Amino acid sequence: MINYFYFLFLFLLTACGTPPIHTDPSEPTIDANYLSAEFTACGQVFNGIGICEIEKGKDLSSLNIKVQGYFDGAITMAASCAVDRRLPSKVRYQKSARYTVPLSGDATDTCIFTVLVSPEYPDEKNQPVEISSLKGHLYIKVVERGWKTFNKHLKIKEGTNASETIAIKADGREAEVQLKDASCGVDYKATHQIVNGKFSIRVKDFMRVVPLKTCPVSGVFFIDGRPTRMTIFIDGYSRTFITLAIPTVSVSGNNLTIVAENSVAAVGVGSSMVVSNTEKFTIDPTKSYLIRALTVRGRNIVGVFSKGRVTWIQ
Amino acid sequence: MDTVSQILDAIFNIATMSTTGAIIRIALLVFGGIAFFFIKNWINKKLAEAAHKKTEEGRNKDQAGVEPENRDLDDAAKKAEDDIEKAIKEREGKKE
Repeated sequence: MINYFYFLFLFLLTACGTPPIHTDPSEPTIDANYLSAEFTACGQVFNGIGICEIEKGKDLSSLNIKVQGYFDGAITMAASCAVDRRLPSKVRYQKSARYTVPLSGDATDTCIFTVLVSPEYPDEKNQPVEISSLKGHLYIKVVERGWKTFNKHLKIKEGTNASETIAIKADGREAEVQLKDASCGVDYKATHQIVNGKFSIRVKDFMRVVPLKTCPVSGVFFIDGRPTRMTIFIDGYSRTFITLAIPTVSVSGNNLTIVAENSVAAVGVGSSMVVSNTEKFTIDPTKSYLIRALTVRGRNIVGVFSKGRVTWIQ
Repeated sequence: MDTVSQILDAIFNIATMSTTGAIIRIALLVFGGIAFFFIKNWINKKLAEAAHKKTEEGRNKDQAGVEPENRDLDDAAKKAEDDIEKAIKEREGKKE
């Protein structure tokens, strides 16, 4: 039996080195058009897709857009509302920092802010793992003072089976709805009955086929002749794409433990990020934290930890 | 499991060997282990290089695509909003 120690010796000899970055069998989110870059803006946390409103003439810096970096890496940005306003097209970040986007100037027209986060994992050059970037879009809707608005962002699987329904609170008898987006073939006009203070629009009614692309659907509904402007920002992603499972989070005293599925390469709390699918972090349980799990293919889930509870944003 | 044990014993049971035999086998084992370690590392290095090359290519391609995608999406959003504003004006015109 003593000779089996030789095998142990061989095993130890080959097992040395840094802990491996977990691979993810999924297709890259960027190929699947599954938007997953984490950012905060207008006081909200978004995972890949979001909408912010800003009153015409106000400074765009009031949106306070911050993009989450993972480990070290690069952030690539574009926004037509920032032309000639010195928004850098690419910046580098370090140590999982949140980068404050220097978007400024008067808000004049609606525009889209696009961001691409390209993380560089520790020791990735020495590991046989392909790392993908994460993309996100923020719809910056410029509104006039006094406008009534309704905004909704959704991630929907491409194809004809969209089961999502958008419920809208409204007072009145009926709502005349119009939706348009030539880029995704949306041209919808219908009257909806308002029942129990709300009416619903099924996605498949105005988008028979959800395309593999991002659709900025604009709309309006009239109730008693008064318009409410709508924006429905849809991320149509690959039908074969599987979203990341919600990790298990447990809190004991000042410790918060995240246990994510095996394909998760990194988990983090706040600005702390580690290469592992499970980790214990020290927190102040009375404070709020952003929790995240990330795969090398860009699949990402963000949670807001507050008062002992986690609200997940897929 | 017994068969595996027997094979391993036959190879490594140094107690039943002559001194020279034992030294040769231990030397083979050590050199074999080292060779295996280096080959494994070499393969890993090559795989890592290939993966890193793909990562870099992907990053460059995706970064180059940000601006055109933003422009297309921006144009689409503005067009959709313009269409809706026209529809609102039309309806308000009819009402008047």
